[in-house]
Amino acid sequence: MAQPADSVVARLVHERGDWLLRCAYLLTRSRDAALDLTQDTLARAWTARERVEAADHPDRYVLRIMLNLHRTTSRRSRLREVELLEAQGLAAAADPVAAVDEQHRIAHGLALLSDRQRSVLVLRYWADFDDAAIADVIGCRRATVRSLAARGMAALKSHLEAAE
Amino acid sequence: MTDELDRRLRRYFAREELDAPSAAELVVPGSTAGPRGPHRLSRMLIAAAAVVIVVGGITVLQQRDPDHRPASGPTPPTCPGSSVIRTASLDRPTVPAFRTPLAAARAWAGPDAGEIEIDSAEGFAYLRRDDGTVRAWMRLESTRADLEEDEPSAWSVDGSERCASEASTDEWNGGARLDCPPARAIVGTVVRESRPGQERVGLALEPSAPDLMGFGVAASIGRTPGARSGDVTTTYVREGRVQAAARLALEADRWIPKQLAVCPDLAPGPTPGSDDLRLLPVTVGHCAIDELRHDNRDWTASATDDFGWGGGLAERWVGLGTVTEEGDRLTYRDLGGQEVTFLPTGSAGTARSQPCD
Repeated sequence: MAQPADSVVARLVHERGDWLLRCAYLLTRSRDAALDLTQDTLARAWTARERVEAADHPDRYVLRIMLNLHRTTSRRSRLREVELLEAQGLAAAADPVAAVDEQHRIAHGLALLSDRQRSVLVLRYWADFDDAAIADVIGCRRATVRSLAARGMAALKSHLEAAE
Repeated sequence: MTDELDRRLRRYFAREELDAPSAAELVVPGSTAGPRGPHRLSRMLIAAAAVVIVVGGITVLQQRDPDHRPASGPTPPTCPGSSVIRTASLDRPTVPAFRTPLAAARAWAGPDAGEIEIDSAEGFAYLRRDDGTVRAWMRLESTRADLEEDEPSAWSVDGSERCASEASTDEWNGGARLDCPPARAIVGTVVRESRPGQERVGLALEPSAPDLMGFGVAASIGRTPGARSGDVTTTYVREGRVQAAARLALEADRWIPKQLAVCPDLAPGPTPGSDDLRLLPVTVGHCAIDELRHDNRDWTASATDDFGWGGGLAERWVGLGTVTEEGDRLTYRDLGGQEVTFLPTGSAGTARSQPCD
């Protein structure tokens, strides 16, 4: 059995820890929630470390665990999540007012999307995954990815137009 | 507009990621290193320890200082007479995490432990002798201790002491006793205990969270001496008053809850009054809802209503609720109000996209 220091999970934390945390943060919009989500993901990855090791893309495998964990937890706390998002208001950002407003509008619009739609947009526009990679991570067909992205973008566009 | 929206999204994510926490704050599972705060670190160590135990059979005691006490939290009771035998004397080398504190305590204490009282508010379990005196206590830890009460969790035993002297719970802990928090729903875990000449089985009732993954506090355990086959009825008594009664049936060496009658003040949703309420058990595995047999048909939870598959530490549990069948759609509603749509097994919409971890 691999020792903790040289386990695939330890390597992932070393090489992709920041990347996983940023993805978790973009999904959860909360530093604490991102830490918890990432930590829980790593704990699950540790239990499945042989499969993670054997995966063609271990980082994608772990990301898949994260997205499913996020789906499970966000389903339970959806209302609270929106309230917190509105309460935070991105007030801590140091950008000029217009930029803050822009961030706020998009953040709010993303929060209104389904978890899968938001996940697809994060993976496409932040992680720069192509549709095949997103389908692999989310566990669906590429056509479904395109559909989720299209519907997510349409909803986001509608929200932004209403907000502007 | 789409290209413009693409650019805005990329700009948004680029700005947002700057606020993300650093990987330096992560704890690597299986390692004790990590610069996180004491509460979070403690929780993560427990989670990591639990995971290691489950996977590799490494004991908590090997990874922890036996004198470890949480930096914060309730003060553990002290055995009167101060004659204490440490945890290791209980010889329970591996303790996985469980969905309920009662299950965790029972796994730690073993099948011959007798009655176990759970004080989940303070995080302790007590073992009693036949005469009612306490002979040991356990400190219970939840892997999600910093979440809301209705969040799912996994419990494990973090430490215990065996009292050599006679003592009562009242003397230790200000009269702490089993006390059900306000119940919003009733779900149950079948608890079974075998002793020479005696078989005990019961449904450990739990006031559930508003979703199927939620869990509550094990409130009571039924007692039905001599039951080895067929149906048994177990009653739940608190403060001298019957709170609920459940009927369980032994099927293929497995006890299945069949009926549950809940006293009105504990029953949410459709009030059953004093009559039996016919309830259908829905079994949840560690990451998926099991198939359901109803009206001579097999039903599978729709893919959208099923759980994620991120793996889990929790034990199986059984929820209870009613079902409404409309054509090829079965709507299950548990006593907490959670609804899950079931579709005929094998039909479109039931396929899980990923296997369980």
